[in-house]
Amino acid sequence: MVYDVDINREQMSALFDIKGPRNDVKNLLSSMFEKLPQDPNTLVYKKNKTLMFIGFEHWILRAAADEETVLRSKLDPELVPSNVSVVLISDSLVFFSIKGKNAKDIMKIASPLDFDFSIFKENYVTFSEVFGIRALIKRRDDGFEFGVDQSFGNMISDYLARTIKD
Amino acid sequence: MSNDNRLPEGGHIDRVTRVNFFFNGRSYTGFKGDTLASALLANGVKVTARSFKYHRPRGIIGVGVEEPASIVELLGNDASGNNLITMVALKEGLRARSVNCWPSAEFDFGALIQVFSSLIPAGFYYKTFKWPTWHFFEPFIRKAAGLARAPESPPKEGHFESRNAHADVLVVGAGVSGLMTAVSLARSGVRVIIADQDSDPGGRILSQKSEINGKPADQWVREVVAELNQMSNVTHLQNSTVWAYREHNLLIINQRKTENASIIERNWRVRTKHTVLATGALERSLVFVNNDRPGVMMASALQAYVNRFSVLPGKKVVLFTNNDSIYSVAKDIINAGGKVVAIVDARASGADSETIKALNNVRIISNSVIQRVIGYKKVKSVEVCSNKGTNLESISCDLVGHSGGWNPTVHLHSQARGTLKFCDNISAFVPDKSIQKSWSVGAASGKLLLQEAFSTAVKVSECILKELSLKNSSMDIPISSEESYSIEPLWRVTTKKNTGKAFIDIQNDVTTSDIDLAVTEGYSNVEHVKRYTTGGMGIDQGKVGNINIIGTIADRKGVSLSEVGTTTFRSPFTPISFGSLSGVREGSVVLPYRHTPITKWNLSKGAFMYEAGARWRRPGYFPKDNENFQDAVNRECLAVRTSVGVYDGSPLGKFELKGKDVGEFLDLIYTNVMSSLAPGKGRYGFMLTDDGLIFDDGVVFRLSGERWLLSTSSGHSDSVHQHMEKILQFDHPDWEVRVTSVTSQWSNATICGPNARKVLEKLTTNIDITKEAFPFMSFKEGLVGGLPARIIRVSFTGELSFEINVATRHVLELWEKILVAGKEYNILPVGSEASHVLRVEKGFLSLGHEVDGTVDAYDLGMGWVMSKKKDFIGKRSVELRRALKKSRRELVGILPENPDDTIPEGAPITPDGKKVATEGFTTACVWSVLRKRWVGLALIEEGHSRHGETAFVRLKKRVIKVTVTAPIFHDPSGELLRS
Repeated sequence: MVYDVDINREQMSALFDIKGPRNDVKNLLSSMFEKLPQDPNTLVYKKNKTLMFIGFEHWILRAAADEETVLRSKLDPELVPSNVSVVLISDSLVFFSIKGKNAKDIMKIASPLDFDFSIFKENYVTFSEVFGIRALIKRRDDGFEFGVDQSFGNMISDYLARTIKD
Repeated sequence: MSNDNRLPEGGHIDRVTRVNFFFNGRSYTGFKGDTLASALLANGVKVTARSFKYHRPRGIIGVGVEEPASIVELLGNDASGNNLITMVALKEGLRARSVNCWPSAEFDFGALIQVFSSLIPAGFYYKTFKWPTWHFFEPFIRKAAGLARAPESPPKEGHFESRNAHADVLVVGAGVSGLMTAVSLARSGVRVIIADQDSDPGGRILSQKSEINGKPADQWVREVVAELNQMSNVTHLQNSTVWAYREHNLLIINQRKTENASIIERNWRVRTKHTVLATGALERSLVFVNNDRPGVMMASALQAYVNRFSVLPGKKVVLFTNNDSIYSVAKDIINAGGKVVAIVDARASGADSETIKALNNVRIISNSVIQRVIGYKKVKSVEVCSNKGTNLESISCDLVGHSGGWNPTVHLHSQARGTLKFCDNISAFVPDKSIQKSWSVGAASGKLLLQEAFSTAVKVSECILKELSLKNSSMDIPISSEESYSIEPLWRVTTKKNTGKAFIDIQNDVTTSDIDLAVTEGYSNVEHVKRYTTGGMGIDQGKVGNINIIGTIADRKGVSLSEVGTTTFRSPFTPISFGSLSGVREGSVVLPYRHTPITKWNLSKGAFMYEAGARWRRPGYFPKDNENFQDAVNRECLAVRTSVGVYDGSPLGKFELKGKDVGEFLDLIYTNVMSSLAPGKGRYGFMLTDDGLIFDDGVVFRLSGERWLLSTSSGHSDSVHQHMEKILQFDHPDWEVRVTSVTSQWSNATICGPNARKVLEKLTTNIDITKEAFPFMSFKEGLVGGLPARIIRVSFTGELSFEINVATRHVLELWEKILVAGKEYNILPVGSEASHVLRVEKGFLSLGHEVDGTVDAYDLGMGWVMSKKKDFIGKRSVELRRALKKSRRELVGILPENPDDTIPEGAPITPDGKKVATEGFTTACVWSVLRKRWVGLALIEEGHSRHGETAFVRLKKRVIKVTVTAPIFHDPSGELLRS
């Protein structure tokens, strides 16, 4: 292997696409998060849940797959405030984790972002591209992870295998 | 041959490690640290190439990227074309061969063309190959004048890589000025990338014997490099050519040797805040007759071969100059044990007395020029005369070094759209204004002396630190050994008796006569001369000869060089392999591809897969055993028409919309009224562009009060999303409409055919699927086969259909359950080809077929979809166009007179089948299993009023008569799909 990395196609997460005015979203999620991420393209963690602020009045909530059922009932689209949209998108994104000493090298090959830790800080998250495909990119303690539209999952696996092969 | 020209000591080569290699089929030996060029020169090889046009024998002229003559093709696992011989690092087993010669560079049949050379001056092909057509001659010319062949297969081992990088400053070049700038900036904490094209840092220091701070200059280089390599904020790349400078300070680097042998080459796309161009200067040639003979070299190259590679490729050397720099070359040759027979200096005054004194045994002939080189495959002597052509004498020699001065390497500055100005002091163009954040230092800025290089580097570092709001770290400016430089320009030798070819652009075989001819014929603009003669084009990009062309034009026109100006330098600066550009993007990932969860199942069943829009890989058809395409498609169609089929409709674009303004929004983007839909109901509609053309067709369902589901064509899903967001973000930011793509959240399997309801019943569902409870164009949620599902009653086949949407994680399970449930009805999976046939039979349109970017809804017979009650995007454009009352091409059905005649898609329809302007074309033609004949759809002028008429499809070799019909061949009342 050219690079010292551990690459995995992650198990499905529970994902909710949330759009709406900040205060209404804050109220909706108040039982899960005391506060929303302040700056665009940042995230907050709370008890295995991640809330990502990734666009104008746009958030993505991520949790473990086994929490999906509970969260679906809490965030029932018919019951949330009328000016807030909540859509289940768990199946839409497939996540890949890139861990290890050379994780940054893999990301540099895959994406045009600046992954220097002084720039791409611990709480950063953003949509950008990975191998030319729109991807949600964030850091993790031991490297990086990114989510792409699940229909491109096999192609991204193909790319990653090519990147690390001897 | 052995290393006869290798000096007994010195140089930066590793004499312990011998390297065996092959050139033009012969084996040679060199040393680690050699280039292919230095090793061949050491082995006494003189002819290494044939010229591009005249097939003249050529040798090695340069030492680096400036090499204009010798281009080689590498073989074996290094297979690649158009490598500069001077840039190929020697390695064990390397195999290389000369290009553009047959059978060999030494003996080339192509050289016969020299007999006719006077008949083929610049631009001869523009004048000669007019009849019958240029394309008749083109293949022969390309074969005769080409360079290397492209490798026939990819490398057997390793792969290319392309990566991104970011820096505060990219320093291009690790010569003295580059290193000085890099270390100054890095000490202040700046994130620096320094990239250098050579295998070792040092630039010109590697080839010269200079001193810095009283010590050999290479010691200073080693110390600075060691410091840089210890800094975590510095990325140091050698063997790395910065070959392109794009907008927004994006520069591209080709790294030819990486830390891992598996990576053949690496491409770097570097985005910087500032770029420092420490690209040095390139020595330019002097132009005299036969200045291309093997054994005639650039003086600086000669110096590099002596000092760096310990090679002196001749016994008797004559040097020719118009500037001071050649005197240090003479000194180094003599110190290495070589013999300099004479220095021919075109200047009246020549060098200063001290320099001349240091070379007391060398004959210096001032105010003179080399008029001609005598020899063919090697130099035998030179003819020297005064500048005026008098005092002609012949001097015996076997090696000629010449220097016409130094050109700052301004290629990247120019690529970045920076301007140039002519500097009289050094008789060269230097950077003037920068358009991007780039700074030239050292020789690249026109400061050719070592001490000046330090000064410019420190000054630029200070400016950059100020702009980055960083403190300047203290930095002593090193002191270098004294140098001097003066020059008197000499653009070409113009003595009266110099008959023969004097090359001004050696790579492209452009002579002084070619430039004269171009100017005589009126091509006085430098850009025109470039294109007419090819001077300054190709791989070379005018590195050695460009300014001589400009000087010659200036002389001919009687104007200054500034007035002539320069041509635009293009990327790449040096040849770049395609592999490094693509990186890992090759083979299966050359084009993006998308899979549905059914893809694996499809493949396991032997489906014929292809891309069917928006990068989705879809099954075309499912052949059984040795079944051919048509039989497989017929079988699938018959299943749908007579019993039941199932297809994977997952790629359809799907969006959930929420908000109080969604109804109004949908009414704006669709041609018909959507806002009136009741929950659970849907409607088919068109989305138009501003100019009233059909952009997409799809269905809209109201899920509940303020929640909607919008389904688009697979191919236009992304563009529809963009279209919606653009309207919402720019035109109606006040509207409360939230759009979320759920294309990949919901996948679907669509059951279609007369037995579709029975299969769904057997599959079990808690939804009432009776015709009355669940009519056409309605939507219900519930459980299907135990899976949470959304069922939509739409039909693309014209049959009773249920589009069952489930979360993507469940769709494979659903698919397999459907096949089990449908087994007793002989259900078949249906591919895209059968879907196409079924929709043509039904007369349903397809984007890209009937919707070709010119038609509107009325042309398709679907005027009912255009609301009269409301405004919508594109409405006025349609009305304006139709108000012209011009003849329109309208959708019709066509039946070939002979039912077994098929018509290719796109086939033109002309009046009476004559060879005249078309009146329409065939949009689709399929074998109908119901009608047992070929049926088609066509767009034809005034088609709606021509049903029953005969039209004529004009093919290349025959005309097919067709009957024009209504564009529907199955269930015209729509009874079946509503059943």
